Amino acid sequence: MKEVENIMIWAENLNMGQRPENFNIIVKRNEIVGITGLSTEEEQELFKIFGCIKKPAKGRYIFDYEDTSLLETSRLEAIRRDKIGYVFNSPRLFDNLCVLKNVTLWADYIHSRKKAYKMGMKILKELGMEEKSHFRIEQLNNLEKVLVSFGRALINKPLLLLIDDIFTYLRPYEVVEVYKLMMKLAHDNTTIIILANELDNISFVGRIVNL
Amino acid sequence: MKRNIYHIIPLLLSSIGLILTVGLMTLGLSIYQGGAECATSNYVSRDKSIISVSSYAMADWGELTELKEKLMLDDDIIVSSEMDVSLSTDMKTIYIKAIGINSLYWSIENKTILYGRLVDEEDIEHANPVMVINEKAALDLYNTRDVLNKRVDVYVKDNLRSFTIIGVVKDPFYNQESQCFIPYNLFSASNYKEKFLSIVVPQHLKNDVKEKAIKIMYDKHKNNIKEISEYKQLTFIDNWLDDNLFTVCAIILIATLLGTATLVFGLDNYLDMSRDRLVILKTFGISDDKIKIRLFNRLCLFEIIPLVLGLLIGYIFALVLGNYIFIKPLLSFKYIIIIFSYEMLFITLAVVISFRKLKNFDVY
Repeated sequence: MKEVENIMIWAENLNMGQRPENFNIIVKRNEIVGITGLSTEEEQELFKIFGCIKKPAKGRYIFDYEDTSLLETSRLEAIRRDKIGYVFNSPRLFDNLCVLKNVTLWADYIHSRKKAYKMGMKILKELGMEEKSHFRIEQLNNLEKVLVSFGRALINKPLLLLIDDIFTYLRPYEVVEVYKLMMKLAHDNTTIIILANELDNISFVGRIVNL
Repeated sequence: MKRNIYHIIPLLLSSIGLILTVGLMTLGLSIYQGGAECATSNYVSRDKSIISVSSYAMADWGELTELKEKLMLDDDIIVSSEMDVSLSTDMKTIYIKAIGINSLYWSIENKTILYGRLVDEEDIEHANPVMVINEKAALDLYNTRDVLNKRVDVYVKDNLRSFTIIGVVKDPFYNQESQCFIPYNLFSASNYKEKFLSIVVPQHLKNDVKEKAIKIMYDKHKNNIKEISEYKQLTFIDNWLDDNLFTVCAIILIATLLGTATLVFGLDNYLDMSRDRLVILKTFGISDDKIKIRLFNRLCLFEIIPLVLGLLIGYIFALVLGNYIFIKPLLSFKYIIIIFSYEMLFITLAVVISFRKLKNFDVY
């Protein structure tokens, strides 16, 4: 019974692209799971399904005990707002906005400006970027840019952090910093799913699923 | 900052149609209101209104007193009656429109004096044979505008009377007619072709008095009594609109279509430039409606620039045009609200058309 209570994701008979075989996975809370062996299109498809951006064409995807194939668009949007954070394969930040504005980009739409500001500053503090809150994006190095994109994803304290292959964007020593951050997040009750081509040297990933 | 400007420029450029429409509306409305205020400023400030009726059949000026008593009016009735006469000097004879007036006439017709003075109350009281002519008549008769104290003969239905020119008034640009203004009581009412009687009444009694006046005139003469525009000053605009209503509607429609099309184009560009940001917002669960509302609010705020620009351009043109037709343009809060609402309609239309593409924005 306790086992069932801890489940975050239950995917059953998902079918990606032209693959003949279906895909099943169960992810528990606070787990760090790496998924590899997917083509770019398949990776994008899975990112959308896991991220509740799209309903699965075939099979079932149950996220936090809700079957997404049965949900309306507005409920999917609410799940994305409240429970999921996204880090894309490049930081996708906006040069015309400062660091803080990039972090509060979407929180600004659902909270008051004051609250969004507080949330933004809090997450930047946690990421060690508080002093650079008013910096322009072009003034940051690649690692800092990635940290800002993490800040944007984590501002609402999501249950699930979905990370698309961000490591290719970073140098090896920068990757280590991101690993440290992910380990800290896992301790803070955040489930992490990493979609990547290779995850060979990542020790902290609890489970690697090679499809 | 620079990047923000690059974002704004396509929207500014695409607001040309909007500026044009707002400008046209400002021009039209400010001239109209300016004209109305100009013609009735004395009365508006006293909460009074002017109504005018015209009758062909009135034969005796005594009827004016009768009408005033029956309507229980405090102010005198304003008279302006027209007839065609021939005007002769030693050298020349011209055919001209003579307007028989009392001194109150100048309070509803805004004339600028070039030389001399206007016909006043004393002239009416003593039936002085004096005349004010417009500059076209002066030029036709003497080839100069300075014609004070010159004597002219007026022939009306074989009657000849001599007049002294006591003033020359400036012509609005639209006036192509030679006119002279004389005390109305110098000729009997039957000599005048059309008799306009304007009555000054408290605003709240306007409709009652109008109906009553028409009924009294109808009972007396049993022929059609014509109601005319409350603001005689605007007769020119009314006539122009009657003749050019289709053109005006077409101009406004074309400007609106052009404005909407350019704004939609600008918005499309703006959405394309903001695509990345909108995609991120959608991915993080911000609904299309929320994004639309935020963008709409931002756009409304931004479109204040074209609105102000359109108002300014329209008002400047109105000032230029007003200079020619003796109307000082005015723009009341009510008209600004009308123009603002029209602009909102504009933006809403453009937003509804261009925001359909928002649906297709996808994270990958």
